[in-house]
Amino acid sequence: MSLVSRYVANVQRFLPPGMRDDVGQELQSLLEDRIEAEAERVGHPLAEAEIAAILREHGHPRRVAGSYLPAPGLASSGAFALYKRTLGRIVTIWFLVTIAVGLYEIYRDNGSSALDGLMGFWHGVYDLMALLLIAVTLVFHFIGDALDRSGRAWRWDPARLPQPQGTWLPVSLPRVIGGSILAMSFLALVVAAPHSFASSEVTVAVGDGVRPLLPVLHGLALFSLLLTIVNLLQRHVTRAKLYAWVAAAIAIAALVSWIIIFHRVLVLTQPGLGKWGSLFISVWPEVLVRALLALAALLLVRSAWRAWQRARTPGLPLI
Amino acid sequence: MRTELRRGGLVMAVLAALREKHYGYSLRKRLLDAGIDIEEGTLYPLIRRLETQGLLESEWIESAGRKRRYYKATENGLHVLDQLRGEWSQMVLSLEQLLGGKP
Repeated sequence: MSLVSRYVANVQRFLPPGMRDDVGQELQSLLEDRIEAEAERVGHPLAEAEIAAILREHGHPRRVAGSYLPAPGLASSGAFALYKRTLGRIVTIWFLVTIAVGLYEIYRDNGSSALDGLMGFWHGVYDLMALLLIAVTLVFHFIGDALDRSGRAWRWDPARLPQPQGTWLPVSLPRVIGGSILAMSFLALVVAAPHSFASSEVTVAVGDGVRPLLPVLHGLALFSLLLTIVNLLQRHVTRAKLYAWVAAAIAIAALVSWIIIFHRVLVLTQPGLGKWGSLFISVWPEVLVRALLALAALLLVRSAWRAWQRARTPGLPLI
Repeated sequence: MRTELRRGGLVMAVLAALREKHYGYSLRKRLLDAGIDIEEGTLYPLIRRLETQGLLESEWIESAGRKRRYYKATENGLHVLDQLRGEWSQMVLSLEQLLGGKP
């Protein structure tokens, strides 16, 4: 792929999907005109270094894309994409920290004060997050302002731009949301289902072999949520993301398979029923939960296989 | 300061140049020939913005194996140009009056 096409693809990367084709086509044509005119002027076809100099003069892809977008207000158009990405990362990290500490508070055995402690913690978290967002916005506002005033170009090299081997493929929104719903369902199945079966007569507990694995399962479900958030922020398929998903899906499927093969998942007991009676009432939920877990493992393996095949397809865009 | 001073006149310069059909690079050259050196990163987004506002219209034309997007001022664009020209003349008169006493 020529340096110009690579440059154009990188500009498109920072544009909303509706503008990519139109702006990309026009930018390609404009740059080719410019290069052609320059070649006529110097009397020989331009070398790659000369083309790179023209592209550098044209501006960093992020900045060029920003100039096609309406002025966002909070940060200068050239810095807005970076500002948005930084905010996205902060929100993601904060979200995960909140969930992790929240789960820790829920499972910590400190009696009735757990909920109060959790609420207090969340208030603190959101106050600090609001301050962070304000600080980041102000920093970007001043940096963008200073850059605009000084007119200085950012240091960058067109030859080091990432190499796309086709169009940048957007991740479909239904797929992203579907992934999130599946992850949440999985989390609900593992955490909430045993409690919802319980009543005053019947006690339900997670099997002894499975209990130590619950934090791992939470971690994997959270990883899936994280991947969903990254997909929502980035909305592009990359080979690295596909391989990460293959590894995660195989790990989760292996763990789930190990649980359903070697461990009892649920233990239901009802006083007065005796050993065989308790065993009888615990059979059907056990079968149901095992069937659901087996289905989840199969779906994960299928998803991993598809991601593996896709990652090995030539022409996949790389970021 | 200089950039800010020029910024106001750019729309007028572009509309005036696009009374004739031009593609991006030829428009820049036309402006350059008239003494207006405008950065590509400013010019191309500007013409797209003017098109969105209905002041310009564009079409893709293929010639000698190359596709180029040609722009031209619309009726509305020419009307706005006339209005801007009136404002500009008025402003020049006022400024000259103010600057008249200076060396």
